[in-house]
Amino acid sequence: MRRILLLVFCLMSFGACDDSILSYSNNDLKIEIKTGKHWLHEFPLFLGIFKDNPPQFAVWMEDTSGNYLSTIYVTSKIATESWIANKGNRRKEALPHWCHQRGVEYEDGFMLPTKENPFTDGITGATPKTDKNIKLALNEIEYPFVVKAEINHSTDWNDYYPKNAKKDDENFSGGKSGSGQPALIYSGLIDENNESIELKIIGHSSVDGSDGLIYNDIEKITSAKSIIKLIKVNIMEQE
Amino acid sequence: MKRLYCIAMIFFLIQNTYAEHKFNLDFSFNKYSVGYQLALEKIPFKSKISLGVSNQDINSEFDDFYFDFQFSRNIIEFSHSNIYGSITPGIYFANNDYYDVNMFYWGFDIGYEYSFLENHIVYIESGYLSGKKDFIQNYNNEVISVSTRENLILLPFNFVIGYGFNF
Repeated sequence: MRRILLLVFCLMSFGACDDSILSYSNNDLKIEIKTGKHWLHEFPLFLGIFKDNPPQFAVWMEDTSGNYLSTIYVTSKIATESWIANKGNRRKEALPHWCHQRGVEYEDGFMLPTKENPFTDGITGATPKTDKNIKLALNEIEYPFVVKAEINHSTDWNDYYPKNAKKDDENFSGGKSGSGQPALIYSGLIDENNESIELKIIGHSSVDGSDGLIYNDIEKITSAKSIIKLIKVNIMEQE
Repeated sequence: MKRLYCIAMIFFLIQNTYAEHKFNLDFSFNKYSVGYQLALEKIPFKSKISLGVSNQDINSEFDDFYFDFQFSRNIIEFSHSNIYGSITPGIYFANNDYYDVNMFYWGFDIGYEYSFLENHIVYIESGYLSGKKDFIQNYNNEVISVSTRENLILLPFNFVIGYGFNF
């Protein structure tokens, strides 16, 4: 009996080490994403049961002319089409601006990665439930450049973007499992003369995901503005 | 270090004289495994080694591997059936295009097994499983190098339907 307990203890200690600390060097960039009041959102599962879901988001870089350079991070549901019970719905309204800026068209005509051809040109992971930091080092790119982020919740209804909007209405966001309030787009010009740049909301994405344009009328968006409290890019000095 | 644990486990198993062995097949919504169980003579526990596939990493495909040891003991015994409790330490190997992670996990379960036709057994087990690994995920291209802290968390709920054959 003692031998079994000893063995179990040894195996448990094997899993206890943590080698997961991010360290920064001079001129690395630290992207801080701080969660807001509506980071977690009740998503309906079945029989009136809800799950607290974090949002889907993408962070990427563009040059100052608006040309896509590279994705920095994208959440895994959109990167690998791993939605729960999407019943074939590709959810093109989730992050349409990132999809169109990236410009990769898949076999079914959509700009979203598929299960068969997932996004592999960057980092993806499950949406964190709390704040997240991303370390970025620049290779063949020079300042200034633009960092953009797009963020969205599914079924994030409000009075102007309701669940029962009809397909031809301007506030139709994908039907009963659609987006509700559209994705919000944040942007910031990263210049080496500024040590810390906060990304600001520059508009929202297409409500039904049919294009990749930026729409400036954000006054009808309510709770989605507080999904994120802050996105900031810091140019680091040696720690 | 991993080798030492494996050697210790094998040493522990072979130094006991077994009284009974069983071949097992386990099925669940997120894993499948084959196992080999020994009922040891010197201690009042059954030990089972299992090797299986699971789908709990980022690509949700049944291409991850796990390897575990289950130690179980009967709590209530009937003529053709038993209720038993078990603890299960194991190692999980994720397999995907984004990261290379293996992690320790452990679980405890309550099970019910029913014997029929002399050598055949069916069983169900349910319980708690704990496994979490924090790691740094990296990506490089010609423009940038990106790193971020990620974690892999195994589903804490365990439910298994199984079949066993005594030989």
